[in-house]
Amino acid sequence: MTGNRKLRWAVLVMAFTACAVFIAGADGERVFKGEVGDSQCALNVHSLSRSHQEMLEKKSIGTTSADCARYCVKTMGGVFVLQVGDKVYKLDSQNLAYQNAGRKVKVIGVLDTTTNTIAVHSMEPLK
Amino acid sequence: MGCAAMLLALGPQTAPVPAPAAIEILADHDSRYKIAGMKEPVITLHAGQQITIRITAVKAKDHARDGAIHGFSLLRAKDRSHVPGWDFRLKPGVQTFMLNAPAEPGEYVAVCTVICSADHEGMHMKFVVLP
Repeated sequence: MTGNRKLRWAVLVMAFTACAVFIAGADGERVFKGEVGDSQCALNVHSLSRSHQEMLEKKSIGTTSADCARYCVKTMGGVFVLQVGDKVYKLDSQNLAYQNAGRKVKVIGVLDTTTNTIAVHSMEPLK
Repeated sequence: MGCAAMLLALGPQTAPVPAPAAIEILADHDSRYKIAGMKEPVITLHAGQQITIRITAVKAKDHARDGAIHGFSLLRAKDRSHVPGWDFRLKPGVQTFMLNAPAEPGEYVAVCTVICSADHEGMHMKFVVLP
């Protein structure tokens, strides 16, 4: 590789990094859009196609995704999580998550990649 | 006299503490925790006691996307709140955990946190913590 090509690559990499930092925000704040659920259903092997369905077949749990998520967290040892496609993030604010259980939401926060936990700055239902 | 004093100072002051016995639990394919010799598994501990729990996990019908086939999470029976440090996702095979019993005496329940089968909700076992 010639010196000129190396320089071009370096500039390209630097520009890409700068863009990524700009998009992510200076403090790493990001926007996540997904559904607030419980860790058990969100990580279930069928969760991508029929989340909550297996649990809701037991009529005692309730009838909605919110019922299921709240039940699994309250009595079954689960925690509220944010499911974004095939990714599942833990949420540091379980109270906010409780209020939005079963809803599709926009979360603004900072992701700690070591614990896979979002430090939630705000959470609001998607319209 | 001097040598004796030195030996006393260097030698063991107390009897060696025996390694805590391991409690063997089977997280079985029928979505039940089992302990050999117990029809209904119950573990009785003293508050803060150091223990080793060895869990053999055998896959039931379902598993989680992270490869866990069962979970093992300890909750306070009175309010179903989590006991810190007692939350495990079990992969197939044997896993060993060195733990301290909860500091607060009372009743606790260990629950499966992976939807492992239609009987998943019945997968739990009791812990009793004595003072």
